[in-house]
Amino acid sequence: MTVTTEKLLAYVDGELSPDEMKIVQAALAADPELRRELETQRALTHSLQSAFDRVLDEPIPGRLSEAVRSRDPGRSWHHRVTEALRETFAVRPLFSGAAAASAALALGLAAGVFVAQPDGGDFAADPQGLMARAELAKTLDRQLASDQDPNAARKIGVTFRNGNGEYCRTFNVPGSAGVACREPAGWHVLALAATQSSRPQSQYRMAGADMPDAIRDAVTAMMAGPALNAEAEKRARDRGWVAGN
Amino acid sequence: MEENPQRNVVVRQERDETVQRQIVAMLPRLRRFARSLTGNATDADDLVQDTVERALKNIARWEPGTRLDSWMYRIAQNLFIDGVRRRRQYKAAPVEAAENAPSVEGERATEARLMLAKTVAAMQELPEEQRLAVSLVLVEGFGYQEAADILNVPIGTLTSRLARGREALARRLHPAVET
Repeated sequence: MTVTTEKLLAYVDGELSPDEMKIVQAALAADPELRRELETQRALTHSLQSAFDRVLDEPIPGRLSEAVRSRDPGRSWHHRVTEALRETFAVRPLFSGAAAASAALALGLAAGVFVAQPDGGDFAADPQGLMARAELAKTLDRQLASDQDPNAARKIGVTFRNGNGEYCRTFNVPGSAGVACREPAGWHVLALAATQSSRPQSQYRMAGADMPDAIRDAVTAMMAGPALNAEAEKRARDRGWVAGN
Repeated sequence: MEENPQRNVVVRQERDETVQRQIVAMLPRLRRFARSLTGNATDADDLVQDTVERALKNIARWEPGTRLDSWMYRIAQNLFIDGVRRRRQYKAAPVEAAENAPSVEGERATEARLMLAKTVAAMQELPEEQRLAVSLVLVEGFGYQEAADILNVPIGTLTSRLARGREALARRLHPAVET
């Protein structure tokens, strides 16, 4: 053979420079065996393409479109946070400050990597993790669970203290439920999960009833004592949620 | 430069949506690639599904400005090789039956179907490395350099796997023409 097999294949694949192509073409003109080899390779390429190109015309199975869609930014973000929580609490079932801190770290990472907010303004990604802001921060600061508008977009569930003596509160915002603890820098959101209904005003749902398991589990893991009653909640608020023991 | 978390959020969200659209557009090609590797639709779609999930999970590692399709193919081939190594998933499964061709089909059509089945089967007999090289270049139409990058091998390694794979396939599928 006047040219190597690899050179001939590169010719078939269109990988040669114009000069190299001329050399191969000259060799082909002079060598019937090389021409046969070229035909074989072209027939092979044709066989492969006929065998597999028909896949392109098949309808895309629903599960594949779903795999792309199910990571739509809003849900993906919830999913990620929930996953981080689950992993954290699965490896550290101790209800200690350390567990809460590592949960915060995991969430911070998750949020930092892939934050896409479902609702725009209630959360801010921060180096420490996810912080409540705007209306949600205001609600967490002021709203008493015993005294809230049943149609409010943002609602408070339970208030409790974690292992560090910080006050933590569960909340609902449109489409999500979560728990945040009052730290010096503000309300640190330690868990957030999608709620089934994205319509918070639904009359079929009560405040606090719409609490995903992930949040309930997170709260159980964080609580260092019973939930505050209405009177203790008011007292804590009026003192500005100052942490202590 | 000052970091603005809100703005970053919006930028990331836009990027993610663009990426999702691109991935949807890529699904037919990824399915073809996976089919040529696994030889059957079920394993192929498992591979594609795992690829999509892994890609979206690690989307932060994709560098915008580089080819998303090459990156996806790289993930797919890694998963395929991992699966082969684990001897669990994506392994060669029985080729879809070709003998069910209705008898009303003409002889030529039956012949074509048999050729398709033979081609799929011949691919399954290649060592995985050769199958990947053949698939990327001859089925998916990647250039040598792109294919070598996807497989993370030097271009000489790619061309030698490609040559050996083709030789074996030609012996199986086109013996009359070759001799």
